[in-house]
Amino acid sequence: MAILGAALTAGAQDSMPVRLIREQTSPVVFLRDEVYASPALKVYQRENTWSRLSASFRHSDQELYLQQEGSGRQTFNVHSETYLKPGPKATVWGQAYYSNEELYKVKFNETADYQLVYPYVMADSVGGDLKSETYAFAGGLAKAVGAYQLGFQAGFKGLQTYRDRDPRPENISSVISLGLSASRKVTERYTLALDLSGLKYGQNNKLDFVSELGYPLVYHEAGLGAYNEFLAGARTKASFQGLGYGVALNFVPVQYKGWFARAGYNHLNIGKRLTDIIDDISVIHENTLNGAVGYMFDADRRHFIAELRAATVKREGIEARFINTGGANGVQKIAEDVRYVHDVATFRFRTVYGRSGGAIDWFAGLEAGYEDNAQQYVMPNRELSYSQMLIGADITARKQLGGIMLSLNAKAQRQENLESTGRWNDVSPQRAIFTMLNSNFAYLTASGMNYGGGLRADFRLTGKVSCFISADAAYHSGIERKDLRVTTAFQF
Amino acid sequence: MFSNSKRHSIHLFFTLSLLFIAPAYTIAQQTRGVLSGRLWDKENGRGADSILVIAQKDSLQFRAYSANGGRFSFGPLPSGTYKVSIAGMLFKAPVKTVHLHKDQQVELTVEKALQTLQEVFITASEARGMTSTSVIDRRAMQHLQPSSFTDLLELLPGGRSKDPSLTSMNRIRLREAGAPETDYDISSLGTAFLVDGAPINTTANLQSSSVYIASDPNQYRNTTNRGVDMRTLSTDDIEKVEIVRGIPSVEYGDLTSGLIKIERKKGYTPFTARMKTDGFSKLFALGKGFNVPGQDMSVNVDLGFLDSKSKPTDNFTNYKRINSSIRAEKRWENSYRRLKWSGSFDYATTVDNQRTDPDNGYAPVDKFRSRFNRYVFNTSLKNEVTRLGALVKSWEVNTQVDYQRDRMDVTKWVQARSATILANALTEGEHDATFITPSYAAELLVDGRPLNAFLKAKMNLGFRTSAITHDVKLGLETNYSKNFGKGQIYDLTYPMNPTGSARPRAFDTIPGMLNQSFFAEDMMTFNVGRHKVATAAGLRGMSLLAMDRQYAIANKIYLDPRINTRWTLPGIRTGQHTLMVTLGAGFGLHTKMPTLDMLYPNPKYTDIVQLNFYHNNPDYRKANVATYVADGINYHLKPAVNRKLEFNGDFELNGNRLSLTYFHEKLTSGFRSASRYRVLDYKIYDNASVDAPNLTAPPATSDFDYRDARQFFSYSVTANGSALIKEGIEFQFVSRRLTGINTRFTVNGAWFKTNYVNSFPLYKGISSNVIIDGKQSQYIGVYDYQDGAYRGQLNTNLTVDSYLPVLGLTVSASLQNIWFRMEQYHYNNGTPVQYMGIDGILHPYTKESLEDPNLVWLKETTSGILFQKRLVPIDLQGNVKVTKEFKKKAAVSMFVNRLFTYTPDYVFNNTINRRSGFSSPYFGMELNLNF
Amino acid sequence: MRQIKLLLCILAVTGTVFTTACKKDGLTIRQSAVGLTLTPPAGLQNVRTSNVVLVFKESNSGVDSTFHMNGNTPPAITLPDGSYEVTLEGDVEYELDDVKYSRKIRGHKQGVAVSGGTVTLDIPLFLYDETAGLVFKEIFFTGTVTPEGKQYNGDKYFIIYNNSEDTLYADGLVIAEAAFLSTTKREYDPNVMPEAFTPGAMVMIPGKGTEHPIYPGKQIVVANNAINHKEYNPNSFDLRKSELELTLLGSINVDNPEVPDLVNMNGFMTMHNRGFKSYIVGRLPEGTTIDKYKEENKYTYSYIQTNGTPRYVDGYKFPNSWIIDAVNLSVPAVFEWILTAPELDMGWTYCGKVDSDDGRYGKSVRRAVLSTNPDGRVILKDTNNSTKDFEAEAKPSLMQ
Repeated sequence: MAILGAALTAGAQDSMPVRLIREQTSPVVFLRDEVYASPALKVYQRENTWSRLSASFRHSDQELYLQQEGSGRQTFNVHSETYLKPGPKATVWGQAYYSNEELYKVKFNETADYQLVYPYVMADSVGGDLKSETYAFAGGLAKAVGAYQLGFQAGFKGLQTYRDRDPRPENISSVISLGLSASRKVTERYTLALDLSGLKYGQNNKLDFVSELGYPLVYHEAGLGAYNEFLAGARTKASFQGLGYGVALNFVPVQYKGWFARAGYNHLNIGKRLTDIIDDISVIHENTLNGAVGYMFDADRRHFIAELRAATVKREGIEARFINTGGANGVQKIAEDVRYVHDVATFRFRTVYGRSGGAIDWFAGLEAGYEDNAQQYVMPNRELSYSQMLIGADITARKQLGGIMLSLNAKAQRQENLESTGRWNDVSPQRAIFTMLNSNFAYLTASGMNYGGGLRADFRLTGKVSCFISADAAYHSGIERKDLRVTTAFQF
Repeated sequence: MFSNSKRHSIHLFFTLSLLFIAPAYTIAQQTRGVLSGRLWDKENGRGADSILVIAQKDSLQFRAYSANGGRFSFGPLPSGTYKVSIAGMLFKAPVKTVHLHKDQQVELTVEKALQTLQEVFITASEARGMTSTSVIDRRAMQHLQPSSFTDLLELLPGGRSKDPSLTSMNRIRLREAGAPETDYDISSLGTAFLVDGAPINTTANLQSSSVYIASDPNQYRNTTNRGVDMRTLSTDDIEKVEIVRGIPSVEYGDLTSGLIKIERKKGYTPFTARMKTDGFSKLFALGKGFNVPGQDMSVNVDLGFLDSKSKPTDNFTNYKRINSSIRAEKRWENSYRRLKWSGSFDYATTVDNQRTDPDNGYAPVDKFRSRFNRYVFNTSLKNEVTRLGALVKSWEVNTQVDYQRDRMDVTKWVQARSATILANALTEGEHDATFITPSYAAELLVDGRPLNAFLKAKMNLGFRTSAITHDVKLGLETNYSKNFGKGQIYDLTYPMNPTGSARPRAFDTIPGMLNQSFFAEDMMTFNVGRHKVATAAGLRGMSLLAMDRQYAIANKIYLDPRINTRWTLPGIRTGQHTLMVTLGAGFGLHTKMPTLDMLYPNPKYTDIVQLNFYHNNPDYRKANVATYVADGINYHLKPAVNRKLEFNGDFELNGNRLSLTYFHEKLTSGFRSASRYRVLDYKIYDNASVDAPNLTAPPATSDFDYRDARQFFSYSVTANGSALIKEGIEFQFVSRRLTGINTRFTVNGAWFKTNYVNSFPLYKGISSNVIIDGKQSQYIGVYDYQDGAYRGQLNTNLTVDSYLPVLGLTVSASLQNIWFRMEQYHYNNGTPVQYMGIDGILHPYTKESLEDPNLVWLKETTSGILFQKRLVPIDLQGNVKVTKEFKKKAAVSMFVNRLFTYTPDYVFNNTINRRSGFSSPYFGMELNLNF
Repeated sequence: MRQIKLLLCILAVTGTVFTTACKKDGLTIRQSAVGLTLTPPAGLQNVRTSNVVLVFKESNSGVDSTFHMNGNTPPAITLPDGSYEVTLEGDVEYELDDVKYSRKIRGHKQGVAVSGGTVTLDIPLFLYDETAGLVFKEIFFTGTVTPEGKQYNGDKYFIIYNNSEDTLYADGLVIAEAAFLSTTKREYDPNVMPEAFTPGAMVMIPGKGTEHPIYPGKQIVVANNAINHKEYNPNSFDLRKSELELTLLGSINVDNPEVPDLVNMNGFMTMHNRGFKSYIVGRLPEGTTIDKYKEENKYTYSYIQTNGTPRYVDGYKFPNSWIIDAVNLSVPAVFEWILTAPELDMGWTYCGKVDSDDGRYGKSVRRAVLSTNPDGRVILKDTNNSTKDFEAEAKPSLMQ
């Protein structure tokens, strides 16, 4: 509050970087940013350059959740970000951040990066709250060379998750990402970009117990609660190594007016190893296809964007079987099969229209989505599938009041499950795994209403430095999720 | 942001600072003028900010930073003539002379000065002195982002980045290919650490608990007989480190492996603050250097705090370090001499904590806490004679007293695993014993108070004889070490290790050690035509005074002759540039005295149960123990001596430099713990000789019949039994900084081959499985094979570093590669040469012995494959460090070690050795503030 | 209009892709046919097997596949690829020296790889005798925990039981603990397991032959320390009434003068408290002294460690023919192999389901009761298959 007060007096003397704030708070720009995310299109992404140093706090929790991901989290984050055009031909961007998180009630998963490595996580039925620290930096550079924009970006994200009570995982993972991109103007109004991207993933996944007296069964999940008994027990060190690549084609207007389209393909491979076993115990192959088409225009006071997106993801899990020969190389692979498959298809449509420059700036958006999701495991045969639909509307209003620029947004959505199948008849209802599968199923097939809203206040601090404070909150009735975030930032 | 206590300490810090400045300030008020001005950037005509401006008046120096628009001000200064210049890597400006008698403005035009970047190293650089030495300066340390001194060793030839291991002792190993656990502690013990000229003396360190606790929590932290624990040294107050890998001047002694010279920051520095976070530690450091105006005096204050855990999952094993230091330096100067006094007071404390994790399932009684408090007073006086032609060029006296309060507090819940006899007699003989209390909380305190006093006086003479210039060093050094601690203190009835056989000892009963040495060295330089030759030849003598005559080491003088020579060839023109070549060679002996613990070890107790009568009626129980005590002293112990030989070559062309060193070091008298066996007689009482079921009164020991028995028992002594033979080539290539991208390439590395071997025959007892007529340990074998291994490795580190001043970005990437590692055990056929029966007579071990069903157990099975050379192939890792500066006031840095690794699997004896996977990066972030 | 064409082109490509999305796959698992040969013991004539039950237990999935066979022709078997443990039990009729016998037959094989389409498998069969006189009735190897949660060791014990109708003597009985671990399978060279057991600690009951009689249906208790352990751990029990007592490592040994001690033949019988080792009870042949046994049965075995370096260990052999009873112990989560020939014991029993299971303390393995004679004599189950003969994680019989 003291800062806000100081800002009110300071704001009266100097003007704020209003153009920058308008750009940063426009829902049209949020959607548009993704259209221009390619390194070779970064030059078009924003009109205004900025550097930001921010700190944020976030808390979320929910009643229904994926057991492996936990019931919520609390995050403290320090973030620095920059988007600059140091010369007439260059665009430079970068970010670095540190996050300190607490994840609540993570069960049946002692491995980090669940979304990347699932279903092959190390698991036990105990679990608990987890602590997590993330260190990340990334940066890129684009340069105009004749009719071309050549872009390059690289990033590193290091994550450490751990628990200081039994069972104690200590997981260190890293993602190195690289992107190369080139774009060329195909007409005066349009440009075409080709992106190549690659990533290298690694995780060291350890589980420890300090109890002198003993510990629970540790197993290696293989999908829908199935696991290899031979590998269950005392194997508490795993390593994941992955490689991914992608290619994408973007067709976009250079002046925020016209049609745009994107098509991309990504492949990801992640293998999992255990100590003392030469071969990978399981491998994930994931192929993603995605595409989008849309239209945007940005006249003086009118802003519009509409986009239809579609994506399919096919994830195959190959699992090996082992035999113990007793030799120096001990455990050897004798067979492997695709035992787990996860297919997802999603379609999403979103449009936003807004007017600015009047007494009040406003934006109105509509959203609709459909998702079809199926997981299967074979021997024992298990299945979890569902499809769902989402429909929603949102509104944003913005107004300058003296030295403060206020923006306010609100949204409402309906999420509806259309069909669901859950089959794991072979699992005894006495087992913890049965409860886990049912709980996850309930979460995935929940229907309900989502509400959300946020407020952001921008003001000038000193000289070239401006500041904003924002707060967002959301509630999902189907899963009873509550989410709150507060951010303060300095921009210069 | 700051906790209350931190806020207090900052207040205190500023108050203290004011105390220093205030008196000086009043003196300076007499005549003064405000010196201020502005810096202009030649390139864009704008004011240049964040540049350090220096005003120099004789030896007085004042500093200011340019602010927005290039404005700077020194405030009021004493009047006089000043030379105003700028300091900085990226800019240069001509020096301006200002006569200040009233307020004055100066304008300086600065321009980008990329050529000065040539002097910026973020790696260690090879010194241009008389022997192979690595120099690591402040900037290199800053870029490295270290947690302790240990991390700096990455920069040495053969070094490699390692994750900090802050909950165990950090030992130094110079020029070695392996890291064997025990027996080769001479590597670290024989490396001398000097801070501002005075040694960190560990001779009187006795802080060990190894035999007193069953599973010793101090095991990996124990520093006794192992030299300096590098994790205790913070790097934030260090200006420069010289690591003498080669043959140091005879001025430095009581070392075998190498010499570390640490020079701390002196003079003005801006206020600096540093915060580092990584996965398991947090580090904070503050520092500031003040000039006392008009006094030709400076004061530096440093404060550091490190808090780390062994791993993030364990909150109960942690290590804390607090370093604080205040240093003052004052200079007086006239036309014929320069006198410099410096004094410092340091206080450092380190705390190792280990508590029982509540998850252990029982009451958290177990605690371990080991705390070192070190107080150091150092003062020195140096006089340089500036009069031309004087014979005495300078003299210097340096003294230091350091006192440590070391306390190890251990509490442990002891649970008898079954009824157990308690043997705790302090004297030799047969004693009736009791049974231990079933369970109790045992407490142990190890109280150590080492005191070290150091005095060194040195004189430099200079004269010429014909064409030779002589620089002569003469000096004396005295070191006194004594421990005033009370040693291990615990209740003998409630020992921490009820089945061990240790007894407490008060450290202050151990005599002090007085180490006296002298040295003399002549450095001769002369020119032969365009060739330049420099040779330093010297002799150092060292002796332990006031030792008991029984010791072989007593009253002997051990001499270290050392010689180093350098021959600089005339420049050779190659095209546009001149190739400069310097060749060198050196030879020397280096002697390290044993420590207090080695000369006065703990007596060794052996307790033999003779009677074990655990009657159903507790009143009738009886136990008897024979206790033997051996003093454990090896009166033949001698100092360890290392003989070093090395050849150097140094080539420089157009700012690119290549340095090469070949070395051979032979140390055959390293300290190790050696087994000694002795035959002890005891009685075996027969429980059946007393009618147990019908007892009506407690039996006496004498009521039992007994038979006599004897067997071998072992104990250990310190002996000169470790040989450490090191050979290798160290190399470093440093390119000039390429203009345009400001990038420098550095390749350094080393090939090491180290032979770790015992230099004495080995005694081994027969397997405890062998029971002969119901008796154990009836034979020992004597093996004369060499127990040990060759270890070798070749590694190179390629470092590429760039400055991108436009973006305020510093980026470095290093590719650290071990091309191979080699290990080969020395051949032995496992057959003893002799054996000794219980009669104490040595017999040759013959073919017949192999037929004997008992003696055959002394033969160890071996096969050729055990002695095959194991070559571990390539082990590559890539590290990246990035620093982004914000207007020179703040910088955010991030480092990632092992961003990627390449460690292919390899096959040994048809077995695949898996190496890939399971290596995770080590990363962290750092925030630095300067103002 | 060029841009519109490009746009349409991209749309066409993605469109075709998405229409094919989300079809469910029929996942299949590779299987292999197993060609089975059963080899009867050598020297038997006119062998006819019947009522044979074959169990294939796959160790990755934990799934048992059971096959029945009548007559001498093995059934056609197809199994999912994996690593199998095969056990076979049935009846056999055969002739030996023109005499017809009708007996029980067994076969057992661990670590059978089934993969690659077809596999041929030979299972040697063996006859077994269910009537051993002296058997391990109970082994209490886990120790107890104190109220403070610390381990307590001195109260471990063996109970040896006379399962026959005759009075038997314990004098000269050897109790031995395996040198190997049932949780670490290794290729030991030489592999003596088919003919001998490799003991670590060995103890012998003293006596000249008739000093320690065990009457039919009676037992003797061999305690670690035959003392009242309640003095040291309230959660423990009184072992003062034990018949015999071990002599342990000097530091943890106490001697109750009223209980005779066993003779240590090799090492100290400290008993692995997680139950990673197997135990046998046997007898040296008439006239073989301990020294002579050790002289004649010392051997050096080796195995290759995971880094490729061989390791040599000196040990002893204890021939299978001298063994009276054997019990394999392990832990389900980390079991790798059994440490005896299957003729001695084809299965294994346990306390604690995972390694370091804190639920194992104060539990023992106890042989199940087969029947009770009219005279009250209890006959214990002894089929040389500890999995079936023993009650795992039982309450120790001496614990009150």
